[in-house]
Amino acid sequence: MTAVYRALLRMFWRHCEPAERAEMGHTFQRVIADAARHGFLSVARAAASEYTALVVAPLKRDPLPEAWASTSRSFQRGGDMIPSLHDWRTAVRRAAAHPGHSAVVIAVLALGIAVNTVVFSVADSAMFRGLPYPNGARIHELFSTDHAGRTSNPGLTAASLAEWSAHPEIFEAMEAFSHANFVALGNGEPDQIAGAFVTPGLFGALGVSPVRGRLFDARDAESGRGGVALISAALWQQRFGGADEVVGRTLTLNDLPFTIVGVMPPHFRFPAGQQQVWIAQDARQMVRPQGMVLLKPGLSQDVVQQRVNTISAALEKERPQKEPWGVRLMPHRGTRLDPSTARALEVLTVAVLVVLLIACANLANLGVAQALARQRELAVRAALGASRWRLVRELLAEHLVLGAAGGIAGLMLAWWGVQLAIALAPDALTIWTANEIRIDGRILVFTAVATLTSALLFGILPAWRASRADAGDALKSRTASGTPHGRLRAILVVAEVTLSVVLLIGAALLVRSFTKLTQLDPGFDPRGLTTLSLQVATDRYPAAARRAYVERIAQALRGIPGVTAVAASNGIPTSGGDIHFGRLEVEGRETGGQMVLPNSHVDAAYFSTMKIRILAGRGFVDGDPPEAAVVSETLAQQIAGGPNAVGRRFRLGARGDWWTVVGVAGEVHQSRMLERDGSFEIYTPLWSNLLPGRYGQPVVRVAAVDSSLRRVRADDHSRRQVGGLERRSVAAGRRSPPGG
Amino acid sequence: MKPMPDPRRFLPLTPAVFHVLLALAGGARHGYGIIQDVAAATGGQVALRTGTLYTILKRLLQERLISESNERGDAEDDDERRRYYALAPLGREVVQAEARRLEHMVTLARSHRMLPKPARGAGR
Repeated sequence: MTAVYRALLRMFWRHCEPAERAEMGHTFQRVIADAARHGFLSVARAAASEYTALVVAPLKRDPLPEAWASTSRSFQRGGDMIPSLHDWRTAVRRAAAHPGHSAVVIAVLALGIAVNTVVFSVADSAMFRGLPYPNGARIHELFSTDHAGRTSNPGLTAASLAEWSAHPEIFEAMEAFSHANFVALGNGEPDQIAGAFVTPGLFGALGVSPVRGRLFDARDAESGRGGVALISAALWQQRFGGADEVVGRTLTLNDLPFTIVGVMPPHFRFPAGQQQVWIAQDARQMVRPQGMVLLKPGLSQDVVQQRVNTISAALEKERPQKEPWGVRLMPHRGTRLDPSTARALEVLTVAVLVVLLIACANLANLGVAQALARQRELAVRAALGASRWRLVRELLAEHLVLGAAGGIAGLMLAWWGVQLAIALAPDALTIWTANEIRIDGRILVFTAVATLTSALLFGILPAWRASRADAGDALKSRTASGTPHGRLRAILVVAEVTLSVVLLIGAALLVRSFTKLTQLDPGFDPRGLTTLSLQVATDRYPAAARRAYVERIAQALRGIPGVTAVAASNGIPTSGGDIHFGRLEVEGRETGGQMVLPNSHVDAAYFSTMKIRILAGRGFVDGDPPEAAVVSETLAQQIAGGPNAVGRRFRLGARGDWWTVVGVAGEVHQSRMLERDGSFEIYTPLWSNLLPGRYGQPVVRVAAVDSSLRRVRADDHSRRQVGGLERRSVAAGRRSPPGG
Repeated sequence: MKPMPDPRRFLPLTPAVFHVLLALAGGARHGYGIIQDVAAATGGQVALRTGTLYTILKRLLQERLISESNERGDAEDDDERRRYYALAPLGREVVQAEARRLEHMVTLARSHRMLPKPARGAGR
């Protein structure tokens, strides 16, 4: 504590003799020792005001003001702390008189502030802000838990849903939703649309209101009535041209007509980033609905969780069922942020702050150089009676004027930058937020603080140093190499270099990761590969019809010049098909560990089209039974404990179906491209695994085309071909696998 | 020797300066002693900070209102390193002039019935 005091003394009381400073340090010690008798708080208070007094006292008005005519130089009328109108005018004039210097300062600052504002506005909406709904803080999701109390599955059973709907003492509302995908027909091409089934009261519980029409009411979900839908503002623009009379019009989804009752606000995202349409449905008709509750006002999550635990423990005794009653409350987050994206965003936030710091250090350096050039002028003015504070004030006003200009320019740049950031943002799978990304009051405050801090950071040091110049020295020296400035600039340069090195290392690491990513063997050959996504309404077409249908499309695609191979599967690398969970059980062996197993249903041409290596056994042939399986290398290791897994039988969980290994395939990096460990993966024959379709579930998602398709404008062409086959229930979208 | 300047030149005093001069009227003090004295005299109302005090002391020395003193305080509170400050004749006149000015103000306030009758013109 005393050390800090002594340091401050050395910095701000250089006009005093060392003996005097020692005396002051001593007095400070005694004051603190005195305060210590009254406890820690009074020590802190005393120390804080002592430090403040030490810095402020030399700048304050002379304690003997009327005696100003006498000799002292360091204590002449100081004036106010705030620069006067005159100071501002001088500052603006001086800035205008040095256009080169001013332009550089404004440009550097504008860039630094713009980058910070853009990154902060993205980070703010994705990480810091709460839900943009009036009831945001009270909205929680319910997750089923297993017997050990771990969160097991987001979905709720019908019994659980009914039970938790009957507890108005803790839940003001109990609603549910489930994800769905639709093929929309209408005036244009068939389109795949992501949507959700929601209970009629859900949006009311969130507290949102539509921009057109109305929300659902309780009768909307009654069976026997025609379906009703709410649509997103984007869909409204896209399909209906933003027409006012959209309410009451019909939207055909999966060949069923839905009456549009309203349009949601432009930035409404629920339950995730990509949903465009919401259908009212009773929770009992949903498949594994996800529960969403509105806590009663005044109850905290912990309190409610405890009551829920008590109730479910009682239920467990009274009415035990196969799935446990327990549920866990989790606040609904209007944001999806991949952990890696979140980390990247955090790193970026820090990195741009460092950039701003470097900019400030640069500008401080520039300021010192400029002050050096003015040293003589300042010294003369000081000698003529201008107080140090007056000079500091004037220089500070100059920096603030430049800072404000830089801030305004930065804000304009940032406005444009935010649009750019939204346009460049990765798709909704890695990051999305229910909060609109825009420049609002919070961002303005951030920018203002950043600007002011920067202006002070780069302005106060040179101003302070310049005002300390000794008149005699400054007038005597013809060269501009004052030692104090030399040291200050050296410190600034060291700081800049240090910060730059930190940034450079960070950038180098990023570049290295990127290079690694591009050099990584993904396990398949993405060159020339184009994927199309098809969606067939499974409730309308039996498996055989669907197969015939996809094969006709494949045939049509093969007819396109340049297409060398066509394959179909329900998943492509980086976004697989189905997923199985359970404990690995191998016939004739001890059971293995719990695992998550992605499962793609693929046709016979898949491995050769994707150029995935078959290491042992064979790929699929037409007529393979549903239990035939090609497994990834690491899974083969798990099953057989060695390379030869062909012929072994295994299953997941005691009730799982048995699979027989017919082949072993090379590793394909399914989700995280950078993960080094092999991933478990099982491929099963597409056509024998066509399950009785669930409403809206895609069966054939992808046709992989190995060709120079892009050169022949694959999109238009294949769409035409596909469309020509049967337009009413197929939607085709083009996707490219990463690196392709 | 220069003639003594007019003490009224320094008026009005800031409360802090007035308190420092008053504290020294009781005899030579070191810095910490002044802080303690001022706190005691005002019942803790005025807490002088070291930085403020030494800014004032420096100015008072410059204007010769006080002087550094060789007089030592109590033996147990004495310290070789300490500087002691004593009221100079000019300082005594300044603090008296300020007190008179304040007294005049108090009388004025009383004549306007802003203060009750029996009161002593203490403090500021």
